Amino acid sequence: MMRPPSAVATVLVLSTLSSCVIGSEKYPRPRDLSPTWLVDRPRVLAVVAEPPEVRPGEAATFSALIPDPTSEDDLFQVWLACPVDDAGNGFGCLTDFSDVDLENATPEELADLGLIGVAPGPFPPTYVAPLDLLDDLSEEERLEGRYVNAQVTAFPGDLTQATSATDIDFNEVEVAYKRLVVSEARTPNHNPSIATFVVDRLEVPADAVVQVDPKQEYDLGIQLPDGTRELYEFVTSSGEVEERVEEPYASWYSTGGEVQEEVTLYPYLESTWTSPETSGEEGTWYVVLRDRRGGMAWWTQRWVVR
Amino acid sequence: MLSLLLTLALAQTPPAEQPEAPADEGRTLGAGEEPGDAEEPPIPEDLPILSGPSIVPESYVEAVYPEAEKAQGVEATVVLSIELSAEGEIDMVEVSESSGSAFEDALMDVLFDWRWTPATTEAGPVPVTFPFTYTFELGAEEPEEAELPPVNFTGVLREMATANPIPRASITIEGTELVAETDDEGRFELRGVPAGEQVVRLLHTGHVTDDRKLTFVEGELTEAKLWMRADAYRGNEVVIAYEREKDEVTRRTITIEEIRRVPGTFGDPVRVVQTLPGAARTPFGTGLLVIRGANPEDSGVYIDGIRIPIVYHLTGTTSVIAPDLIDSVDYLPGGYGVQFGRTMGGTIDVKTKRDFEENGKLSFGADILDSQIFYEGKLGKNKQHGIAVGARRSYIDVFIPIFTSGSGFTIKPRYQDYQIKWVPEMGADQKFSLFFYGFDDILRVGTPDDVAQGSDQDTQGDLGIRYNSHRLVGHYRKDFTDTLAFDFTPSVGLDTGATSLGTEFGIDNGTTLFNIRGQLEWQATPAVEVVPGVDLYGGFWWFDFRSAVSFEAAQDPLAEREPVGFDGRGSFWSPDPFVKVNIRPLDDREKWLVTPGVRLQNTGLRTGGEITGTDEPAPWQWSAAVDPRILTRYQVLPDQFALKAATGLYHQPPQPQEAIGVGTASTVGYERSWATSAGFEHRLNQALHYDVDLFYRAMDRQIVFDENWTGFGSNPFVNEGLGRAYGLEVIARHDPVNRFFGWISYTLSRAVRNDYPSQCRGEENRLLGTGDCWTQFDFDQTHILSAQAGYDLPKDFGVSAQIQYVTGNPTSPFNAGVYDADADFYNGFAVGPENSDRLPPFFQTSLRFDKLWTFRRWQLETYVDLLNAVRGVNPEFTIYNYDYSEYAYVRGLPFIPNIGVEAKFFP
Repeated sequence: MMRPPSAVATVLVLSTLSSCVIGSEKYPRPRDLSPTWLVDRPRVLAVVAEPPEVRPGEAATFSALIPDPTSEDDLFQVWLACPVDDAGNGFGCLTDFSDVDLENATPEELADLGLIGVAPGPFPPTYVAPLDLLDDLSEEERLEGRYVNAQVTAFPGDLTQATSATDIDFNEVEVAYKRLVVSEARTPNHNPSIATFVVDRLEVPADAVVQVDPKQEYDLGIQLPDGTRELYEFVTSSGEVEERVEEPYASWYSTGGEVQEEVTLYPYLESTWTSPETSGEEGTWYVVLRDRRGGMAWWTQRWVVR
Repeated sequence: MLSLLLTLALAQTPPAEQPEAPADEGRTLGAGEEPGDAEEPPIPEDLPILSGPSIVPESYVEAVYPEAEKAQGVEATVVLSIELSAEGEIDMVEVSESSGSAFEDALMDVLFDWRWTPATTEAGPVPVTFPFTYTFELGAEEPEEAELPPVNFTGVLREMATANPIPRASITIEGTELVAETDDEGRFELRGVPAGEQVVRLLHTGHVTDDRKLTFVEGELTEAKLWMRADAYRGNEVVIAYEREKDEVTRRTITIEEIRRVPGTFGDPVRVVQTLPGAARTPFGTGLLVIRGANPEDSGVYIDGIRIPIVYHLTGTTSVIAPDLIDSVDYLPGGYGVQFGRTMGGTIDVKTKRDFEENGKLSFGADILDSQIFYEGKLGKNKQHGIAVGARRSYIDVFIPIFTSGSGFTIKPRYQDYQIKWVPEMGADQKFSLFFYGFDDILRVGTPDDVAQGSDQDTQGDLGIRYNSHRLVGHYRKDFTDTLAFDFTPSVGLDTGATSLGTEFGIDNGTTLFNIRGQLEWQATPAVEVVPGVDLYGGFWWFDFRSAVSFEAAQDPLAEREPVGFDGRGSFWSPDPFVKVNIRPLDDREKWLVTPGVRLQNTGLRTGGEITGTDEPAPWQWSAAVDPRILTRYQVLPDQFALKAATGLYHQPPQPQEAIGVGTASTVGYERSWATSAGFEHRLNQALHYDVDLFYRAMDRQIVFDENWTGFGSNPFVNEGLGRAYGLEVIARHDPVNRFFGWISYTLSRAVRNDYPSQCRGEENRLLGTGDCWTQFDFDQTHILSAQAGYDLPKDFGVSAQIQYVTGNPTSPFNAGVYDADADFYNGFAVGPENSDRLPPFFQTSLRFDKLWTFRRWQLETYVDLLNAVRGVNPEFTIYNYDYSEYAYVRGLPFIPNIGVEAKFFP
């Protein structure tokens, strides 16, 4: 016997209100993506040039913050440097290593490729800006200068045994680059610094391991020493000289727990972090400070859940 | 009672030369028949008579029966031979047979007072000679007329909700032989209804039979206003009032009734276009128009012939025109004539109503998105002023904060639109209307002060977008003669917009527009109609741009920033004359139509302001293009099978932002497309028909970004790109007949682009767009299948459903990235060429249930629209994690239950 229309409609309505998604679990959702603040694999968090701005003929040394929570060993780093004519965007130094025998290459061959050093090593990677680097620029342009990209390629330990570039799978390496400013600026940039790290407004020594309670919120913060925010001159497009002060920002990372604010802008150099549930879990906080002019500094702090 | 028999027989040759047709070929009217009801006589073969002659019924006067013969009971037949002129006048009468002079005299007394409709052939009215028989016959002796009882029951019968009178309905009194029929005004009267309680039965085809109990009092007149429910109100709503010229090859017309019941479209006519062949699915159902592989900006939407800037409100859910005002929507995916220009893609031609409800109708509707009110009616002493007024406002800005209150972010989209239309009666040969409409959309995204939106200090703050548009459109049509008409549509419009991000970024812009269309329609010969016209589009624009950073500095994370700002202003004019010729070469004018046409596209641009880098406005730049097009349609079998084909050039001027030279004169010109299509239409029966079309589009001179752009002082765009699109479209449709409607549409297509052919070094096939240099178009969807159907259940319930399956959009995959330590983000490594991969396919079903209640003066409809009731994952695009090592899909719209009501009042 045919049901009256209202009953049929009711059944249809109820069945569809459940709303079926076919294949819902087959594809990842945006919420499944690793968040930017989470350090759960080797990755480059910061690259520092000291100093960040040099004059032609001057040298800068390089270092990088490359944590690897998956291994006790340090990553092997290869450093390259290459001048660029534009904003330095892209992929750093595009060097073809396919024909390079890293084990037997001469220093001259390596220098031609732009190699400026390896790490860990006895000397930090160093680049000396050529004396004629700015010769083709006008006087005004020389004040702004030109970029030299410094690129670091970090290899996991098992790849360091490769004797030829063709043995290397570049999907397994971490690559980063940073712009070294080579100019004749009257107020060249310097790297900022971080004076102290605070947890819930309490200063924490750098070598301390902060003990936290499970599943608790903590306010993390950094304090800057006086003068780290530099005053500098800027010549506008109309030729006027402006005095400006840096507006730094901080990027926050952790190997566990949950960071709520990944980026905070001066003067809000604080972020809220929630500790993991698991008692005994250990981890590290990282914070990178950028002055927006090429200067960088970082701080690391370890923590453990009681 | 006398009964009269009249006989007409017909000969088609001139009276002096042709023999009369034999009398036995004459026709006889039966008792009670009127002259006009008689059947046509046999038609001789060599000169076919198409109609007539016949007696004009109103002029017929019965001959007076001779008294003496009547008293004697004598009957007679008078046979005449009548010569009738081509003007319908009797030239001569000859008596062929007679039973007496008295009968002849009686007939002659009235014969010459009768007026006649002449016989006509293909060549027009012709004189004829025909035999005519008039019989005097005595019937049964009439009884003495009984005295009729007085009328004691009168009234009027109307249809519930619409209050329209119901003519030719039957009113009976149960248990009696009393019956009355309503007249054209629904009025009736009955005599002699017995006193007491009686059951009055109402009977009419198309309405529900009903019995009413009324009490009649002896000696009193009972007056009643009676009502009947229509069998199906939904079927009565279908109105397509405009006249289809059928001079476009592929025109798919959908009725308003179907539109409102397709689930998932929010009852919006323009959105339903996306269920038709050739229309690609767009992300999040936003309603962009991607037709036959063309970019969204390449297709045009017109309201009453005037192009509108955007089709949808900011939310992308509803179009900017109230559905109640829409009379029809014509979807022209290609192969359209020269009256439409400045587009390379498809055209959607929305026509608003010209005829409104006689007694007025007030509608109010509300669902989860918005509420709308609409009135249409005819005002004035003689109801000579047709008026329609409508307004709509969204209120999702009220509900969204409820769901986002804890986040600190606020999202407030708000849209509203209005329409006012006046259509006065101007007589049979003139039409006039004024139409004023517009919309205003706002989107505000508020951000908390203490949460950074990224690291850039200049992009913090609230996002605000506002856009509004207003149009005043006049329309005048004059039919000078049957062969000459003039159609004129002037309009003026104002569009303004404002976009801001925080306090540092913003752009304000505005345009004053004039669009004037005029055309003559001259039927030069029965086979040739010439339509010359002009489509003038132009106006003045301005913009004001400010930014915390220049374009060059924005590319450099270490660059010092200084605010930039500049303005621009200018004017543009595009007077496009066109002419098309509708040629119907065969005698059967409906058989074959060929429409060649040509349109001369002209565009003049002038730019001024700081954008030019000088204080003086740039000189006028004119460009022109010629669009020859030809369309044809051949009706192989009337109303059953037709072939169609079209080919032609379609030029499109640059978009405003592409045409502005940045510190230099713009060199960007028309884009071009050569479009060809061919197919057929086959109607299987009254309800079922299907169309098949093949199409091919070759695009060149496409405007693309100049990779060598060096900034201010050089043009950022060039006409270099190429494009190809081709495929097969099929639609099978069941018209809204017998409570069911539905259609299935399928498109198999390919659309590709080659933005920089001059850099192409690999092998390629430019005809088909294959080879390494060609990439998939962003909305290239190989398979597009859409099926929708609706059924009217008893008791005014309705159910409808929609199923869609669409190939996923192309996507460019990445699998690794390099970290820019200064900018603090990763640059992704693309794997393969652009758009070399595809998202998973799209699948969704939507359901709609509705119920209509009908009362005497109003109706109430409630509905539940279950959008995405069953669906696939439906990725809209791919997003990656910070270093491109992981990916996920941003999924399409979720399940959305839309509940709504609509009330219609008929004053």
